Amino acid sequence: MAEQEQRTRQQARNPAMSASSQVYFFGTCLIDALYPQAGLDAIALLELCDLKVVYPQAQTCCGQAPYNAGFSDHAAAAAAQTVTLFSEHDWPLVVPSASCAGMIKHHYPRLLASDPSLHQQATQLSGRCVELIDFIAERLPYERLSTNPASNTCVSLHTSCAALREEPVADSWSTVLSRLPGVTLKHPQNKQECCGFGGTFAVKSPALSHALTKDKSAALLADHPDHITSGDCGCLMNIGSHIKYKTGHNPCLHLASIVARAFGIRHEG
Amino acid sequence: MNRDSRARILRRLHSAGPEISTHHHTPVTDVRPRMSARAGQTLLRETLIQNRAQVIDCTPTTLKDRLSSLQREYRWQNVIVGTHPLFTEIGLEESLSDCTVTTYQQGYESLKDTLFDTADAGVTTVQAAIADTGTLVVMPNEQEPRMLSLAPPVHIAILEPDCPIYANFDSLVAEAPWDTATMPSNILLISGPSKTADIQQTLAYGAHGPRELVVLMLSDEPSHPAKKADLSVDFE
Amino acid sequence: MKDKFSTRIEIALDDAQLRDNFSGAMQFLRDKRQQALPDDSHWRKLRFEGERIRQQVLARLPALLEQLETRCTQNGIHVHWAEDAAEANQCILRIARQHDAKSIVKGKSMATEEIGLNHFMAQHDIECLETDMGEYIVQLAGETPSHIIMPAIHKNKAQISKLFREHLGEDCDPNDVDRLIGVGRKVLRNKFKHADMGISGVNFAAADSGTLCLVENEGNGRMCTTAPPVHIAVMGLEKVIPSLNELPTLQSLLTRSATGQASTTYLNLISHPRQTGEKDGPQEIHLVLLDNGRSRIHQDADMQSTLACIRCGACMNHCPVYTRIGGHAYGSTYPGPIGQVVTPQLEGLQEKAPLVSACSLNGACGEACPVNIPLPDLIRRLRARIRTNTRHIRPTERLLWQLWRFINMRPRLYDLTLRISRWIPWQGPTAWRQERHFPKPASKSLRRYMAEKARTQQHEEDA
Repeated sequence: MAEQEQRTRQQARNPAMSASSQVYFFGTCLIDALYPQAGLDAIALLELCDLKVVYPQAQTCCGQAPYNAGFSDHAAAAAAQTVTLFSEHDWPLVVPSASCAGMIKHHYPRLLASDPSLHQQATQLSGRCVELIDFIAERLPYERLSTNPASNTCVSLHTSCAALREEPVADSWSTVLSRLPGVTLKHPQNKQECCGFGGTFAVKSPALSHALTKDKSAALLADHPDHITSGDCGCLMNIGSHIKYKTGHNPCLHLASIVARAFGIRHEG
Repeated sequence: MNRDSRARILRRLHSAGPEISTHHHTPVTDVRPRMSARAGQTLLRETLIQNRAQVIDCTPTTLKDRLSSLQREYRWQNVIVGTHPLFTEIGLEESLSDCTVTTYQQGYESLKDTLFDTADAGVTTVQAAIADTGTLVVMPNEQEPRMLSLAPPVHIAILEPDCPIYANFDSLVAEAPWDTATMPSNILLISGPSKTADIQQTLAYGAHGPRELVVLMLSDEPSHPAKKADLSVDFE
Repeated sequence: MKDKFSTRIEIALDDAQLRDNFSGAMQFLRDKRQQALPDDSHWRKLRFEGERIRQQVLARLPALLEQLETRCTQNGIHVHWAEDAAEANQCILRIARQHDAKSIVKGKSMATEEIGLNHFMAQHDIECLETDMGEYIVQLAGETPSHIIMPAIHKNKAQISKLFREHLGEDCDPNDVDRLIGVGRKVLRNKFKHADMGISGVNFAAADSGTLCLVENEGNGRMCTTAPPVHIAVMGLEKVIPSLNELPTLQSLLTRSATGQASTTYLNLISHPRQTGEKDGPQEIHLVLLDNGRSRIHQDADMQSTLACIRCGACMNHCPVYTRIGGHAYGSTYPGPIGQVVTPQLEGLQEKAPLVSACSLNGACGEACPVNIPLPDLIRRLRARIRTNTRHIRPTERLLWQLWRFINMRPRLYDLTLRISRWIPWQGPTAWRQERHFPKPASKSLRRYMAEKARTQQHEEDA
């Protein structure tokens, strides 16, 4: 997407957002439990953009998994809780996951449709909910990066289904990576194809999930990258788990970590 | 029985709620002005050729020669044609003098053998055309029955100079050059010879309909030297 | 216990030849579609319009059908209403018997597949021969179509050549596709000439002019609807459109999405049987409006958009699941995403629930749909219904989500759960572990880090 278009998109979302210096951060359950470094890197990046990050301790899971499995009432409960938690202030809600951001933005209002007050809050939240990389794409201090970096990392980007369709931020992902001098960006063959995670799909349709995961992993590894990256933890967990099984090594790193490292920030678990 | 089924089906369909009659959406269409004969023929020629039709430019004077050349090249022995007065006007039978020309003026049942087995080509006029998709609009009637452009392995379509050429399908439908109150029995939009890709996605022509579509594009002016050689087929 | 669908999936995934045939074919169709829709803004405009037209049709469905019936009848087309497959078949049989029909030639029609017409006719000693090349091949092989647009997509040239040799005694070089097609043409031409009846589907039926609209490339549709003395058109009742004015948009979306063509070779608009003075065309035309569960879907506000489908096949061409298992694995008339949505609604949620699981909700189908049917949303809704109205979801899973909710709604318990999860020696669900390592919970969760950070900051502020 042209930079002009991107900027217009961002501002069109909520003019007040570009002015806000405080943001909420929704960590997501997978980052919280399995990849906290990615969360810390994400927060560090936001701080690098001169933003004060507020992390309400009472946050839990956005409810996407039960929602997709047909348990919409359980998901609605999670939605109500999340919406209430992040409605105290009008700040942007930054989410380091395209699928969770999509869930909050597009599905929360529907899930809470039967409660007018919650529905209204969900709609308002929807207007200020943003995926991390898309949010910081134009705010990062790229000028601080050395144009002659000491080392170069080859990175293969997995554009998750959520980032392509529901919450189309995949272009921002590519753009940001392209702007990092020490990073060589590679795209896999059939990049539009699903990695096979799909939440409970991975355990309910294991044969199919495996077939997709295998193909996606092979496609991402074809360029022999140093890292495989994405802004969606579910996908990274799926792909990483498979590659680790096959090779003993997991090359997956969240986009936040790739970008953070480029700026000299590093949190190791 | 059937009336009961009808009633039950409609009842269920009506139960979805009152018809949102105010929600009457006017189709958004891309209707464009009618193309001039020259512009229309130029684009149509290109798109027909892209569709694997053969386009032969001629004038009323050169038409007979073109037809004779075609007959010689393809070695047609039997041609079937309707009773449209154009064919007498242009002297079709004379130009296909080495051929048996059958006039389709009896019922289909008595001409089946000719249509399916012996006819090498069927000739029709064309009522309209669509330039952007390379489409001929053929409207069979008493004079030119339906099977003419279907059964024989070659369909020869004669496009007269005043044949209306529309920029696109929307434009054709907007003007609807037919009696909308009664509707023609059959309107055919023909965009090339019959084809299929059902065998391992490999394109092959002449599946069931004609293998060849030969369009004789008639223009009023005499043949002009500025004709692009790579766009039209020329016979000496 | 594994259901039949899962078994068929595994068989399909293991079939290297099938996967090969399919992946090539799907890429071909996706590329063709992409070439036919190069301009993104044009596609969006066309699609927006297509969606509006189909939504309007569904909003006015009963009135449009009644108008279609009136106008068709005026035109001389007999209209029949069939509530279910049995009624449709009986209706067609009745007409066949009236005309002492022994041989029928049939154009491609998913609606007739749905009602099992060929099989029904065979039971009554009437030959019902498929004439679309792909369908003909599939029928010869004694199979069913594996794709709604390219029925023989699961077969390659060698397999087809062998089929022709075995069934027709024709020996063709498998690489001479022209010759293979020529064989089919010869056999079927004779059938067109002598058939007692022709049956076709209907792509769209224009209500205000009483016109049946059929698209095709081969010409067999025209043959079936023109050569025999009787033509029966079988149409899913959702295929009606207000007028011919809506046809250019829908036809363009259909052909571009299905085969990547701006328009097919033939667009056949039929309004009358043979009229006085005309020399050919069928003496009788019958239109069978098929319900077979559609009116029930129509009543269901949440699922009604299922009926917007124009049967283009784009959803399955873009589905990573369909691409790998092909159409037959689904075990239903309609495969792929639209099949996963429509089949449980037509044939029963309990029985067809497994179809709805085989989806990662990646959204490629909805993105490709030319009339913007929210397929992933529909699948999700079906899953919610399966959970509430069927026994398909096992008690263990129900319990698990109950537990999930219990913990999720209690942040402190959630925090505790994360902390103790590190100590649980669980290797993960078996299904996950098919060539996957099970990730270990981090030694310190993000919330722990943030809680510590907050405490440190608080200390600093207090100081």
